[in-house]
Parts: sequence; structure tokens; C-alpha cells
Amino acid sequence: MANTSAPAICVRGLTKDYGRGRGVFDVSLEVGVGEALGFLGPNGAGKTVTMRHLMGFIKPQKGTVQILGHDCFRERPQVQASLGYLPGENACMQEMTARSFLDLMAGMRGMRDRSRMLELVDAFGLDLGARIGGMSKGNRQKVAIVAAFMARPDVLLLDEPTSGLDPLMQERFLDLVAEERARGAAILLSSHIFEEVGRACDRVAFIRAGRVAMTCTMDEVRSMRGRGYTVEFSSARERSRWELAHGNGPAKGSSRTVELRDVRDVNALIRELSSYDVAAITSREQTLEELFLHLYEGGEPSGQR
Amino acid sequence: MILPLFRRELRSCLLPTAIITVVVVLYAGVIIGMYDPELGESLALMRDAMPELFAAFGMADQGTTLLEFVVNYLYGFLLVALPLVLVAVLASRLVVRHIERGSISYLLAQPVGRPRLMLSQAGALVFCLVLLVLVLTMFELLAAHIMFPGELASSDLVAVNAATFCLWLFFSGVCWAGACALPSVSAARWAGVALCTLFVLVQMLSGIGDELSWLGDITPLALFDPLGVASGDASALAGAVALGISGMALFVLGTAVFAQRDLSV
Repeated sequence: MANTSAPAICVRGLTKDYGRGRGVFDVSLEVGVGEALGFLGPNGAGKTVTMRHLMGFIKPQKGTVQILGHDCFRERPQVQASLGYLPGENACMQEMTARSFLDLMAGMRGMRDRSRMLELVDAFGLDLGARIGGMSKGNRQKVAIVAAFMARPDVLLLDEPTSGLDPLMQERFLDLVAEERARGAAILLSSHIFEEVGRACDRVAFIRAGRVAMTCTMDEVRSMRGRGYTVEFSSARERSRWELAHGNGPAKGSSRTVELRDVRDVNALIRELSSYDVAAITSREQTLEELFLHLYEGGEPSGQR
Repeated sequence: MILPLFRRELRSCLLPTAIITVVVVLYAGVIIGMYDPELGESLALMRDAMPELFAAFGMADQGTTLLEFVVNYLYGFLLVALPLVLVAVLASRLVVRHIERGSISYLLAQPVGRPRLMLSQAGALVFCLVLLVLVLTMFELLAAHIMFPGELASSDLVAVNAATFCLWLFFSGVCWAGACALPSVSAARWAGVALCTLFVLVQMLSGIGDELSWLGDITPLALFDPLGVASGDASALAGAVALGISGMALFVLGTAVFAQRDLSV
């Protein structure tokens, strides 16, 4: 690795405007050596566009995009020599077998030692003799994972990496990411699955409509993430009493349940519910969409960068 | 050249190349076999009956030697159109298909520059055309030697085929530049071959009558004069060289644009 004090991945003020609000706008990210940054956002938020800039597939309109001190567009071969990439859209050459595809990728890298490749093939139970076009989505994803990790790269860009993998393979993949982090690889993991990012990353950047809403540690995200509750009252009348107490109009229809989102103080909720006739209460973790909504309603953690 | 990629792409291009080669060789065998004074007379009768049609396909003059006969009936249309089909298929397979399917992202994720990547792909296309011209030349020489010993000078045929190869190189350059430079996949696939087809059609129209003969001078195909090259005519040689160099320049231009363009894959 070229310079251990500088960030391995450095994006500053990246802008690419595709018109009609599409693209990325003034995106800034940094990932240090041995660090994993989750890149979370809904579909179309700008995750893949940012990844394409890091891969040198597209030129920034404004800003700089560097990996290990090299400009990602102008110095592509130097960047790619230290980079492992797992594309979001799996497009391995379908007419090839897994073995011939991986051999081609290794050959193009000038990689002679195939021991890591074979280790990964064993770990993921990949059938090297099978034609990629005849594989399931999960198995095609395994081929892409082996291709991304087999050269022991210093930097890994992973776009929706567990897409199509079964739960066992997802576990293996997360173990592999932890191994690579321990080895010192810098990882940018793009996803819209909160749990995946939560397991794999130290920090997380939220992107929405092409702009980074905030970057914070996973601990901060966990503390921000409230719970949702579904309260079933004993009658519609009791529910109406709750609604009126909370400044809402009386409940319409015969529904007896209310949805409470982003509840932080559970004790206060329990105390309040004790004065009502409650039939049942169920809880769930706040969804990513709800957390996003919360973020855009003004809640910002102390550690925002 | 990226050798592992070149080998892989060459394998994927061999089938279409083999098909076109077989068709071309079959036609060459038939045309050489038709070189017969009596059949020549009946062809002359047909040509007299439909002079415009024969002229449109570059068959205006039967010629007196075997070389002239072969050039007239084979190199006027068949050895222009069939290799153009091959070039279009290969350019699509080597560039457009990778972009369309997204597999280019795996190739671009390797530590090789885009120019090197594309020149390696172009190398596979040119290699296939070299194979085609070599097999064609060897077959024509063999067939002529067996059927009409001493009628065909090897050096003349080689010169004719070298000029034809320059034309193929030009077609390849046009298709390659389109495939590399145009952002829309369908435009990238069809623009080059459409332009070359237009050149061929205009050339065919120019043969129909005197009023349209000026059309023959406005397309790059005007530089293609295989018999002139065989007879050592300087302007024909210069035309063939210009076609070859233009083709290579278009390869370089297409590759240079590809190296700088955005690829949303």
C-alpha cells in the first residue's frame, strides 16, 4: 500500500449531473486503510454512480476521486492493480465456465499464484466446471466474489455484494469481509440492506437523491435507530381516546390498532399505555426507510462529518 | 496485446469467421470453375440481356484472363459484402456485446489501460480477417492450379487479395470507430455497417447507367481497384494503401474515443 497515513479511498466534492435530479452532487467520502465504510441509500440514490467513478468508468464533472493517491479516471491501470471490484449487476461472461472466466481474469492481472482463488472457490462451494450462463443468481454472485477477492487487493469496492446469496453464504461473505479488513484492506460496501452494513462496517454514509446526507459510526446509527410498535387496544373507542390524547381526530372505522414509529423512550410508552386498556403490543426495529425519514426530519448525530 | 484475452476472444470469433470463410471459398470455387469460354459466352448473353444488373454487381466486363474473370465476378460484390457481414458481426461481438451485457466492467476492472484492451480486441478482428484472406488466397491458387494450370499468376492474385484486404481493413475501421465511440448500443452496433452498406449501394448504383456513373467516384470504394493493383498501377496501389491506412486510423480514433468516454456499466 502506497501511503498508510492518507485515506485509501478519497472522494471530494464529486458531482455528476445527469439532469432531472439524477446523478451525484458534491459527494465526499473517505475510507482509511483497514476500514470498512457502508454506503447506504435507496435505489437510485447515487451509490452505483459513485462506485463507477471510483472504478474509473466515468469522468467526474467536478471534484476529485482518488484511490491510494491515484486519480481513478486518469490513472486507471495503477488504481485497478490494487483494486477488487464486485459489480452490482452481475455480468460475468455467460458462455464461459467459472474456471475459464476466473483464469481469464487472473491472466489479465498477470496473477500466477492461484492458491487464494482455489481457497475462495472451496469456501463458497463453487463448481468451477459449470457454465456461468447455466448458474443460479447466487452461484453467479459467488463467481463474481471470487474474481473480486482472489488477488488480495488493497481496496475493495463491493456493490450490493450479497445479492442472491443464501443466508449461509451471506455469513461466509461477511466473514470474508472481516478477514480482509483485518488484513488491512479498505472496503467500500454499497447496500440498501441495513443488517449487512451493520455487520461488516465501522462507519456508514447515507446517500439520498445524489447527496451524502450524513456519515457516522455504526454505533451512532444504532443509537439513532428507534423501534416501531403496534399497539392493539381493547376497543375502537379506547383507540379513539389515545388518538384524541395525541392531538389527532377520533379514529374512523372499527380498527383497534395504532402504529407507533421511531419510539426512543420505551419506559415512557409503557407508563402512558398503562392508563389504557391494551389487548396486545408488538415491537419491531425501525426499517431503513423509517431511519431515512427520521434523518431528513432533522435528527443529526453528534459525530456527523 | 493482452494475450489471455486475445486467445479467448479469438476462440469466440472463430465460428463466424469459419462460416464466412466457407461461403467465400465455395463461391470462389464456383466462379473459378465457371471460367470456361463456352459458359463465358452464355454469361455474355445474359449480361447483354441485363447489362444494368450485371454492372450494378460489378460484373460489367467478363475479362479475357482467369484473373480478370475472377475479379469481375467475385471481387465486385461478393468479396465486398460477405466480409462486411463478418466485420459487423465481429465488431459487435468484440465491443458492443461486452458493453450491452455489462461484461466490459470485468475487463475494465483489470489493471490494463483501455487503449491496450481495445487494441487487443481489434487484434482479434484483424487476425480473423488475415485468416480469411490467407485461406481464400490459398484456395484460389490451389483451385486455379488444379482446374486451369498456368492460367493464374500467383503474384497477381496475391496483389488483388492484398488490395481487397485493405478494403476490409477500411470497413473494419469504420465499424470499429462506431462501436467504440457511439454511446447508444444500437447505434454502436449498426452505424458503421450501415455506412459501409451505403458505400456499397452507391457503388452499385453508379454501375447502372452513365447518368449515375459519377456516384462511383464519391465513396471510398472508388479507391478499390484490384486489377489496377495487380497490374502495378500507381494510383490503384495508392488507393489500396489509403484504404488500409484510413482503416487503421479509424481503429486508433475509435480506441482513443473509447479511452475517454463515460461507460455506465
